[in-house]
Amino acid sequence: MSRMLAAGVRRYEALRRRASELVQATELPLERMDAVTSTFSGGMQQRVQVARALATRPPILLLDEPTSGLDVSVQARLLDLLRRIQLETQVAMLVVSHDLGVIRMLADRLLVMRRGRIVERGLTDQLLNDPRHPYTQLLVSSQLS
Amino acid sequence: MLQVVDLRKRYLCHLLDGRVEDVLRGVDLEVAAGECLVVTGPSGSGKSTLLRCIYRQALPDSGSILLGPPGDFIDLAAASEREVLERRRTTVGLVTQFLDVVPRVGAADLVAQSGCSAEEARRLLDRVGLPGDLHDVPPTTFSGGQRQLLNLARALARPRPLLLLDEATASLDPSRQHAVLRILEEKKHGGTAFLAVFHDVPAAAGVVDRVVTMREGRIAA
Repeated sequence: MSRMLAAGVRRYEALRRRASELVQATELPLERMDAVTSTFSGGMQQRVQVARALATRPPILLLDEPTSGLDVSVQARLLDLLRRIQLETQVAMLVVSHDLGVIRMLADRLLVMRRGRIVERGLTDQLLNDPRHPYTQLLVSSQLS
Repeated sequence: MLQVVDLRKRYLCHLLDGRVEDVLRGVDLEVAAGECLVVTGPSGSGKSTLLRCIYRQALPDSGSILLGPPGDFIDLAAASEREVLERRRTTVGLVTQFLDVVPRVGAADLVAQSGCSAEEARRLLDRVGLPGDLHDVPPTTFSGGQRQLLNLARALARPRPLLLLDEATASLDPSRQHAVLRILEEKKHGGTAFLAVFHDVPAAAGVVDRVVTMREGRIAA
């Protein structure tokens, strides 16, 4: 709630209402809304982070390896959540990921970086189907399918 | 609706010591609104690459891809990424044999996410012939044919004046295929243009206006 306090939300009731909206939107158990997050699983903590980031309805969300370290079932749920956020709100997302599957699901456009430089850019499906740069070709040909 | 002029595409594979494949060697074609043009030809003749270039899943090396609607043409070969995304939402759809979606989302939700209401999604799934008890099931366990039906329903979720079909009915049994072709025929009469790669052209005869054959990256006839 500190994010909302910092943004000037002062009414306790409004704070609680928005917090429980976010808890529900990110599919966290409502009955644990007041629990200490250190007791949460990795996937739940990841979703708490998404909920926190969305609290003040920012126009852009930065996601750094949003699904890494999560087991695949939790990963699928988080991906579904992020897709819904994309479809239902107008929030822009800048995602950093190594996982080509995650990228394919989330990103419209893709930049491939190597040694501090962008080596290739394009539509996500275009880059994954028709990679041109040697490094992008290596990445795409190395993915498990 | 669509005019392709001298389209060329070559793949350069760095991992195979710079091996070059000349896949499209100057393709010209035109599809009018409400017309269905079928492309046939042997495997490896460049049919799928042609559709991919038009959808901009592959970047052509030269030539142009003029996409309507009339009065508002844009060259997809040179368009920016955002312009291409916008045209994919409003103008051109691609249906392939492959389904690529977020896991654990039910079929009807996937259709709705492609751009229609929840009720419309169910109606579309009924129309393409996906059994009702599968509407809320994620497609992980679907057969190849059921996946294709879902793909078609997703492509129909939003009205688009041009649909690219890459073997879109290949895994369907004859009766389902017939049902899908009837839907396509109806869309065609409503003004939708189709550019389709079909293997089994006779089965699609009611829908087809013209057939061209590709050989070695060119339109042969």
